[in-house]
Amino acid sequence: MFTRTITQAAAVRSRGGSIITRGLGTTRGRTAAFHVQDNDDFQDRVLNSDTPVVVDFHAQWCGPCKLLGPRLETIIGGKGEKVHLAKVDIDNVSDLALDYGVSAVPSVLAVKDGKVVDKFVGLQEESRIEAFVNRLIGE
Amino acid sequence: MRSVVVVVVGGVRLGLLPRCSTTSQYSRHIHTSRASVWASKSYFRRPTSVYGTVGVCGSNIKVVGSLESAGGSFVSMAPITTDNINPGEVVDKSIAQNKVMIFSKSSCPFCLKIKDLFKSLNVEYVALELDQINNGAEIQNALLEKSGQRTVPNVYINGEHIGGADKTISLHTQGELLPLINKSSHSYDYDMVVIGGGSGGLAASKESANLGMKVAVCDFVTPTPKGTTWGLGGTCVNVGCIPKKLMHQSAILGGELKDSREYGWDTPETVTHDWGRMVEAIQNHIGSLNWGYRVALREKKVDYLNAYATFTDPHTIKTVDRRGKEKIITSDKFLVATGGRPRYPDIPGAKDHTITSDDIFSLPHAPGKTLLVGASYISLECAGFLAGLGYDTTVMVRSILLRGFDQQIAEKIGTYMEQHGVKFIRGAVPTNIEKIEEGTPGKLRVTAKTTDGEEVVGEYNTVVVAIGRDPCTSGIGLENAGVDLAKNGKVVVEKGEQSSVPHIYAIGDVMEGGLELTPVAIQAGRLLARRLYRKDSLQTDYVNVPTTVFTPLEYGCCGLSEEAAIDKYGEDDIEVYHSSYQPLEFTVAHRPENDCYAKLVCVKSENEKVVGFHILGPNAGEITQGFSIGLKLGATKADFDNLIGIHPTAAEIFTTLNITKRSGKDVSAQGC
Repeated sequence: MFTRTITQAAAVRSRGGSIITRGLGTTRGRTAAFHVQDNDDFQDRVLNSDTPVVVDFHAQWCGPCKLLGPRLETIIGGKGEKVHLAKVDIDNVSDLALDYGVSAVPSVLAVKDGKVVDKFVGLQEESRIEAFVNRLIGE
Repeated sequence: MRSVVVVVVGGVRLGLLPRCSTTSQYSRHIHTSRASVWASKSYFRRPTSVYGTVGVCGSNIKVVGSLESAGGSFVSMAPITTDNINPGEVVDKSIAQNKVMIFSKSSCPFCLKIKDLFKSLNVEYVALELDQINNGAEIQNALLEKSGQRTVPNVYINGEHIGGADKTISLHTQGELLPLINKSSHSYDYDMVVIGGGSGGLAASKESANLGMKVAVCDFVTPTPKGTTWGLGGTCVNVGCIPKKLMHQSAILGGELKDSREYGWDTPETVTHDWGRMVEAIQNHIGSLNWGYRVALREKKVDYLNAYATFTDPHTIKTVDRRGKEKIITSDKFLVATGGRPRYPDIPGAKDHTITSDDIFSLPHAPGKTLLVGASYISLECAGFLAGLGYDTTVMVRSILLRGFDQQIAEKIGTYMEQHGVKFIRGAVPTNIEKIEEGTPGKLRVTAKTTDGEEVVGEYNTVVVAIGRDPCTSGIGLENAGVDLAKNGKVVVEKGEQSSVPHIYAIGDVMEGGLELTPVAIQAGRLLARRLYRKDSLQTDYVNVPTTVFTPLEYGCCGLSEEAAIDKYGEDDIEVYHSSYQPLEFTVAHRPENDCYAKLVCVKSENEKVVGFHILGPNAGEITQGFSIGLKLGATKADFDNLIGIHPTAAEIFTTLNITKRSGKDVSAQGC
């Protein structure tokens, strides 16, 4: 079942979709988005974070991920320091993705105080992403 | 399906909890007499000739016999009688002496359901039918005292109280029932370690885990000389069937774009193909498949080790991961499913300058003018799609095409490819390959020698060698485990894919005498796991396995080639029915009339049993898959004749084959 989901997802092509880079700054010049390097990094910057974090599980081979990435970037970038964006390449940090039950990508989790409080799977409209982020930061 | 289905009707009412309540109002009366009987007699011996004795679940008795004869699995019933025996002792002994003990009532639908569950899992159990023995009520009281549960079914596994129907079924749903039953009796880290995460290894590991085993899969892809590597899933998914078929499809589409003009589409005369875009799309799909396998292993609780495994002794492997981290792992059983890798010719420049099927499907740049070395199906398939995509393509062949396949059809494939832009250099082998220009692609000079001793020199952008594959059996310490290898390096196996070391098995491309086909490895892996862990007896059938070569005109076959049939039965006993045909779609497209071909190889003395099925034409894979079941079931030529065709299809040609090769009559297509 999951295979089909991913396959369909991967079939949606995205060319020229940008991939967020580490250290992408917000208007305040603080790091709001970062790439998760490993489990320790995830523990440190996501689970132990005082700021709520949106975690974007993505893959290089996933077309929809390349469309969702910039949308998340824009919306979260616009929230200033209220929320961070953690990007997890599931092929680099596979066990972490599996631990969080990522069977299809993109899979997006909302983490607050070390707990997953919300999630969605698949490409979403900007308005729905906005609502998702707002719920996380209580706006 | 075995005939063990017990349909539960009548007794089930909506709202009824899935268990049976006791109807007995007897007080807790525990018999104490005749206790010594237990010590002197084995009451738990499986009844063999005492069917019908009170205390044995009658409705299942016949089933017991049929199960035993059907597949070596069984359901046993005991004890024979419990009269005048201390009920507490009955309970204790029943639990202690039976791996799976069900206290049951023959009329209870939930008991039936649980017994059916164990039967479906091929798990041996003992059921004591409390309503068919005189002291059932007392035993039920004893059960209440012991387990706190009065209701039936009351299930014990390995001496441990499980509970009733609900609990047992929910354990099964969560995949925890079989692990409870199949508790290992060894002290190794794993029950099964699979070396090689390809089609066969993954299938075996998942099935073993399904059956409650603790399983690990070691998979490590040694990069090609060009540095190509890939994810979990093995050859087929990453560098074989999957990308091959997709590139074949890409080439087919090019041909159909040309046809489309005849069908009214204003398709431009010149359409271009973007190699990079095709590769990216295919690799994206493969990436999703790789991830799917990771997820599946995690779901089945199979440990995945992305590390290179080497045997250090018959029960121990050492694994080394990408970072050089070592680990020692022990296992009760091992499965060697390491597959094969392309062989390079032993000539100067081969490893430095050529690529193989391991590289071509992820080649980042267009290959340009390409030489394929070898006449294997891999070589011809690659040549086919490269030519179809518009690349200048040459195949260098030492002797015959498609060794092992029907040679008449092999030659037809060669002829068709030649007519469609593929150049063939026959009777030649390369002797030297040198780089004469850097670039993506660069330029290579290939020197070859013909069988006449002539030297042939050619320049190509890409050289793909596809001269054969070697099994991955060296460098994994099989000698430390004592596993015997055949001359060709494959693992020698007895029936049941068992190597010379009884607890080490081999399937797939490393198994001597097998077939190098993904579905064969999958079947072998799955059935092996079921034989090992579910007492199944079904062996993988390596006969009449259908397959298809995805050359521009696909070639599907099942059973024997004409040559093999003649070898086996003698020329006089073989009748070959054949015909050329033109798929309807070719007519409007003005494609040739006689390129496609169908033939049935029949044995005269066996009522014209069909022992070889061959088709050369579009969608041959789809056609062959269905017909192959006919061969497995022993279909005769008359069966094919009696079959009514689907019109208009290509496959219907098999229902009307009436020209024998022996007659020498013309088989050119006759039209509709």
